[in-house]
Amino acid sequence: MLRTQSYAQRLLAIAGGSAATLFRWGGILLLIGPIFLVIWLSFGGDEYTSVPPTSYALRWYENIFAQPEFVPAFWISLKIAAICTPTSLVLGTLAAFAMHKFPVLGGPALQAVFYSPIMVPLVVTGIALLFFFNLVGFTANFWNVTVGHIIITFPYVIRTVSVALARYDPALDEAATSLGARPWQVFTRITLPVIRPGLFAGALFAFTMSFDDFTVTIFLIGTDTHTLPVAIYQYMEWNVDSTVAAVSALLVAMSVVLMLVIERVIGLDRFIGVRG
Amino acid sequence: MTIAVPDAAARAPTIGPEKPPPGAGKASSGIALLAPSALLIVFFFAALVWLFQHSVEPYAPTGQAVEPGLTLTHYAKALSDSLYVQSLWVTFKLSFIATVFALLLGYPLAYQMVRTNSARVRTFLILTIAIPFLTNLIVRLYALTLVLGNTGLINKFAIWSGLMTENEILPLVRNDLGVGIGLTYFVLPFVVFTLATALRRLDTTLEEAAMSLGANKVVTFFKVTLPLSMPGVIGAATLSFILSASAFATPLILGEGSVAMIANTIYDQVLFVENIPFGAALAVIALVITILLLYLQARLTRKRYGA
Repeated sequence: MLRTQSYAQRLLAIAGGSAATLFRWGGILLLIGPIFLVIWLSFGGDEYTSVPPTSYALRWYENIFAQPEFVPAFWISLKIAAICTPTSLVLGTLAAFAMHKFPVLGGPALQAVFYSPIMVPLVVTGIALLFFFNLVGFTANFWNVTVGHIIITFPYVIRTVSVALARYDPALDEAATSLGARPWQVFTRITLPVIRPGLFAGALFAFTMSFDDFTVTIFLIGTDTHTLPVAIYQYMEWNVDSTVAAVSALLVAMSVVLMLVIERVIGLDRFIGVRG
Repeated sequence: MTIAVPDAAARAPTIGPEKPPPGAGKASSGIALLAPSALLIVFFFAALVWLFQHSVEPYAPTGQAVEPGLTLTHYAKALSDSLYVQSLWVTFKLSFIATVFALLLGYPLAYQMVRTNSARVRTFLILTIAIPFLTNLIVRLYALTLVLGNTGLINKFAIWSGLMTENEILPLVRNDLGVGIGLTYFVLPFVVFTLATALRRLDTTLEEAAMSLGANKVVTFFKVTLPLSMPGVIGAATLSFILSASAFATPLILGEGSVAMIANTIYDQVLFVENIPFGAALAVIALVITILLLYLQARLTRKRYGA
């Protein structure tokens, strides 16, 4: 077929191909380049972060534990995520079930209402919740942040579980029922294992979004408690050493561990959406 | 998969015509399932209504009582005072630029991720998306400042390679350029996610047909692949624009106070200037713009592509 094409067309094909390759590598470099850089610099021994480091040491990793803010902030973030994740998972799963089993409740209008926390800009959610918590007299910052995180994460659970339920074959329910299974048995022994990938993806979204949230948290957090992202931000505002690089490297290590878990449980390609 | 086989006693009463089919319970039990999340949604909407109420309240300095009455002065100020119009304009401009670049970089990435025959290439590309996606945004933005900063990788490289002298600085942070790069970096994983999902659903037989009729790769791409993936592109563009336009951490860290996008202006008004009604009005404007964009996306996709 190539013979029927003019030189202009072939030139165009080569140019198009090169442009695509160029952009692709640009994207790859932008996505992972900074992450590799931060890991490298975290092992620098200089007083101030310098590129390239003039000496290497683990002093900034030691400094994480010498500083008062990072370890407590890590535990607060983990605690909030540990409350937020199961709560969002249960709320979202129940809602997804209601919408799936009762089409009246799963109409597009109601869906839009339940997905709205995903659509509303986080800064708007943050400020609105700040004012509303003040109005109703909720002064416990820890719980305000936790409720805020649940509000922004449970719609993701509804979505992932709904996707799993849409693929669920109702004949499985009928088969189990005709064999004498009670409704709760059908639910726990059949439905839950089948929709497990949706539950897992939802829980993962809830956990990472809660653990990483900065925008909603910064409105709701007081001066007494800090989550890890807020502590990192405040430290880098006032310091130019490589402690934040060391914290970053540890958090990247954490996301690699998380990734391995995803790969084992549902497969990364499915999680990313490359495979159905 | 194992199916529970209950004992005969449990099985007996379930057999009979009066037993409703599974799942066909009363709507009331559905409402019961929905109730806990509905409660949160009601709370969320009440907060939004309260935000709106603040936005039409007269301004009173902290400590003074708010005068009763409704006013639209905050909206008028937001849309006429050059400082805030500028903030809205910068937000719009940078979000648009970031969306264009994220699509340019993201499309070839998503395309190869979905279409490659090599499992190793696919795994590599999946990892390049998954690692940033799962990594804390503040950490990622800090890492980017190490690349773009005045003593960062690019500046050091330019000096080392002799492109610049020791005293020169290539300013890539604290300006629109830095924030634009930061926004592209922030939205890129989301754009690749969305495009990959759309490309995966695409029917490749149409491309094969075009190729077998003599169209080359470029023509096939622009006449077949790209038009077919347009709903995905529109979805990715909308998501990218909305995420950029409401970005808070990215302009905060890469702009270092010199670039105020709308989210930063809202934050400053509420927590530092303490002009709560004005901050609320800006937030309502941001919300209305978001809803309009989502509505436009839905209309465009449905009208042109019937999806």
